[in-house]
Amino acid sequence: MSEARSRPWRNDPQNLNRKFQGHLTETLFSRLLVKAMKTVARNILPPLLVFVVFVAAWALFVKITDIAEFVLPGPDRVFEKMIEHRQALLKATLSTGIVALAGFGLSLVVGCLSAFVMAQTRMLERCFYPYAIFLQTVPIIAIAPIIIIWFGPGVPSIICVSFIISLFPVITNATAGLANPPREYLELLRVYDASWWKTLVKVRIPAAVPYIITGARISAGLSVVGAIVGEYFTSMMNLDYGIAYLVIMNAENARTAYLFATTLMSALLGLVIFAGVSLAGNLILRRGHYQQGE
Amino acid sequence: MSLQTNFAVHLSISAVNKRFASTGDVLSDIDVDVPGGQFITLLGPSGCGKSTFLRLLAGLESPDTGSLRFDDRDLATRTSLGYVFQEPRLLPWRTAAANIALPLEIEDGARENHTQLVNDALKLVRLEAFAKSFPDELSGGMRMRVSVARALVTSPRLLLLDEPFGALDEMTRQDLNDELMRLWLERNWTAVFVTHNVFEAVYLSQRILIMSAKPGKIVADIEVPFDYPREAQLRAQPEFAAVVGRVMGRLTDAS
Repeated sequence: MSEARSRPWRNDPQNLNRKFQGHLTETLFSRLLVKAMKTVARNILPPLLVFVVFVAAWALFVKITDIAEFVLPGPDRVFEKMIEHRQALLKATLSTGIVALAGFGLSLVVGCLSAFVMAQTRMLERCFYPYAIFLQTVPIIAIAPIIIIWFGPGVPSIICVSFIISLFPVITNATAGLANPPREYLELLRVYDASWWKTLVKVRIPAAVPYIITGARISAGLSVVGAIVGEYFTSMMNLDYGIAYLVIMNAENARTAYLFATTLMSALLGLVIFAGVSLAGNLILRRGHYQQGE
Repeated sequence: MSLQTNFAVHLSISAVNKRFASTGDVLSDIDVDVPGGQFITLLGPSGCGKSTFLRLLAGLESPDTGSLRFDDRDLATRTSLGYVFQEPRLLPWRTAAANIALPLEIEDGARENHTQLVNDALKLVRLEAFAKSFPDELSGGMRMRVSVARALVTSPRLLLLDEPFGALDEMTRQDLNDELMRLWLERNWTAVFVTHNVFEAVYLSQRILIMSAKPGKIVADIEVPFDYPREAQLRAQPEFAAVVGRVMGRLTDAS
């Protein structure tokens, strides 16, 4: 009907435009494109806008107040330094990233294993779980020097600090997940006289996956913090490694613009690792249809 | 599958009592004898212990006193049974086929042709096309059918159903009633069905036990005289209405 009605206005530009859009949305590719654009418009545009406004306000403030560069460099200067020292920055960021990922990976493996052990018997859980929570509250700054004393001012120490700080979210979340699978599922397995092992493999572990992913997400962000804290202490012993070393050097020499660039890189690194783990987690949750199906 | 003699489980329940600390006596002096292959329904007001009775049969609870016999075996050595819960209770991370395969995976690897058995069970509930669908991609009725298929995949000799269609709309419920009847006629397991829907109870069962609440007691044992297979139009017959009326009368007395 609309086809017949549209015929007299075939050359109406607005109508042509509508027809063109209709055709466009018909192909799969363009449909995906439209969907992606909508996602961008909804999720990326608003924070991007805030970013642009923030940088503009910053630039304006520096211009108007004529503030000294070693106190507050303008965004243009920070950007210049970023380009100028891109090699050093990239190398430092990459070094920190590798160490953080190593710490994160270790905490994921060790965290899941200890949660697994604790979830097996109430007794073990009662013995060790309070310490898992207690250790979470100990400031890592206080532990780091001890670790450096034990492992020396090198990469192993930094990995260890990153590992310790990111370990506990995995332990607590994975233990919660393994110990408390939905009662209904356990009942289902009991009807079929499922063994301890079958219950573990078929229900307990898969039911714990969303919990483990939650833990991993928190732990991913912490692993970067841990790596940088570790680097601070090794830097004090003159190890040229990672972002923290660059931060200290630039702070000591009042190279504030370069310092800002370095800080920005460390923030970006944290963001990238967190986003990567979040994305992987969401992918696993979606592929496993983990939202409750009932 | 043809009717097999001595295939279905003969249930003898005698003098069973069950008490919970929180709610007091739940079941009191339950005596029931269910011949192999019978379709029996427990009907009663909510809180009359009919679900508890089913859970006793499944070994999810144990009786305080009395005995449950499955042919010549007791609870501990009973053969495998099928259990259909109130909700589909599917594992959300498994596809329909994988959910149906779960009881086979739990068994001690006695059977090799898992895929064949799962396909047969899917065909039984007419969901062949949805083998690879996840529970969140299926409708409520389809999920319940997957749940029934899971209960049937091991070819159980006793099927326990705990208000399985209570959450479904009337049309879907009637469809699934017909489907369940067809499966029972094909496979002829002993069926113990729990519901609070009188029409469903009369339509499906050979025999209806009416229970009273607090403590749960069997107060009436009613034979349903209609031949199988029963057709949908039976629901509109005056004889059907008469039986429904009789059951409802006893139910009102009980509650």
